[in-house]
Parts: sequence; C-alpha cells; structure tokens
Amino acid sequence: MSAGGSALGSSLSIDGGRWQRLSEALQRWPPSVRVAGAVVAVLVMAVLLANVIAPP
Amino acid sequence: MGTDEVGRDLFARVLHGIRISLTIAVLAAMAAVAVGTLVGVLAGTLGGKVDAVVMRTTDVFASQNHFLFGILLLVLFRPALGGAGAVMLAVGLTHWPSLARIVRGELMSLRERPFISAAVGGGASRWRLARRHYLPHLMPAVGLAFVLTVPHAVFHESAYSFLGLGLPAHQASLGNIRADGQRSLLAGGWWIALFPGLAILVAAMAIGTLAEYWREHLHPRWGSELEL
Repeated sequence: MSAGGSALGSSLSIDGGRWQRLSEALQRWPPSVRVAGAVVAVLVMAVLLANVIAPP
Repeated sequence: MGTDEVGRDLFARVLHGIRISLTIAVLAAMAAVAVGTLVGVLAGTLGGKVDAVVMRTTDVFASQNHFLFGILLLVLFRPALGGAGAVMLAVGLTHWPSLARIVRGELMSLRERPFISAAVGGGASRWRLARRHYLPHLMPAVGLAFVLTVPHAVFHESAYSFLGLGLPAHQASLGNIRADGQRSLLAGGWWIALFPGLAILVAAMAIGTLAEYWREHLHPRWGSELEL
C-alpha cells in the first residue's frame, strides 16, 4: 500500500472510532432522550430549511 | 394539514411559525441568560453591599408574577421595539433571577477554592480571574439555563402573540396561528388551532426532555434551583 493509501486507511479508522464512540454514547441515552434529540434535530432542520420547503 | 380560514396552506404557516417562534425563543433565552449571568457575576465578584443590594433586587424580581410583568413590559416597549423585540425583552427581563442566584452561588464557592487563592496570590487581575477561572466554571450552568429557558420562551412568545400583545397578526408565529384557529374553532375549523398547538407542545417537550437529562447528569442539586 502507498503512503497516501495508508494515511487514508488510518484516517478512516480514526473516523470509524469516532462514529463508534458517538453511537455508543447515543445507546447510553434513555429512549425518551433519544426521541427528544431526534425531534430537536428535525426542528432545527425545519428552522433552517423552512424557506426552501415552503417558500413564502 | 389543510388550509386556514382564508385558504393559506397551514403546513407552510406552521413551518414558518416554528421558524419565527423558535428564533425569537432562542434570542429571548440568550437575553435572559446574559442578564442573569451579568447580575450573578456582579453580585458574586463584588460582594459586600453591592451583593446585598443586587440580591434583594433579584428577590423582588423573582417574587413577581413573571407573565404579568412580561405583559407590562410588552405594553411599555412594543411601540418602540416592535413585537419581536418587545417579546425578547419581556422574556429576557423576567427569566434571569434563578440563573443570577446560581451564578452568584457558584462564584461564592469558587472564590474559596485553592486555585483561585493561588491565582490571586500570583497577581492575577480581576479581569483575568473572571476570564480564565470563573467563566469556564460557570459555562455548564449558563448553558443549561439557556437550554431550559428556550421551551419556556416558546410558551411565552406563543401566549403573548395569542393575546395580541406579541408579534403583529400578519406574522406566522405559532401563537398568531393559534389565535386564528381560536376564531375559526366555532365555525368548525378545529385543525387550525390543533397543529400549531401540537408544534408548541412537541418543541417544548423535546427541548425540555434534553435539558432535564443534561441537568440530571451535570448537577442534580440545580434541580430545585433552576425552575425557570
């Protein structure tokens, strides 16, 4: 594997670890908090994209 | 979701209502947190007579019915600031006392800690103490107070607009759409009041649930103090 390829591989594995930690953190949340987090994410998207979804 | 009494798409209006109401609520919560932090830092750092005067003033504000006090502020400042500005001011000036108490309490306990004594002994200025030592320790309480204030501010914006004291009637805030819905209710248009009401409820519950979870993990003692 070239130097560039190994750098890419190591960055991907770091990324994978970060996502794994994030998913583990999310799994520790109670279901109600997970639902609330999803709702807040939808609300934030609605605030940001309101003019795109429903032009005034 | 259908249309309202003059044929406007209710989904679009609720979507824009969420945008307007949440934006105003976030800005109003920021104003409340800024006032609370400033007052708490003033009382906690200066101490002595300033602390006594500031905290008694805080007690006076905390003892008032904040909704009625907010209405008074709206009536006074709406002509000058407009609906959105007056709602932010009303929420900002009625929701700071509990945070001011927490910030002051945290500062009082911080002042007794050895690393603060070491910084003072090392010649740190009051500004450096505030920036390097006090503020980083206060950020969790301030951040939590901000998140707890947002759903409360959503309720207030909706209630003030519903009463005709908040945003102008043509702006699609959730409170204004509910006011339209109330007028259509007797004519059979139940859905016009239902959907903005659900949006208020879902937004407030979701943000409130996250804030409560954060509060339980961060500092269970604040449970009784941060009742906003």
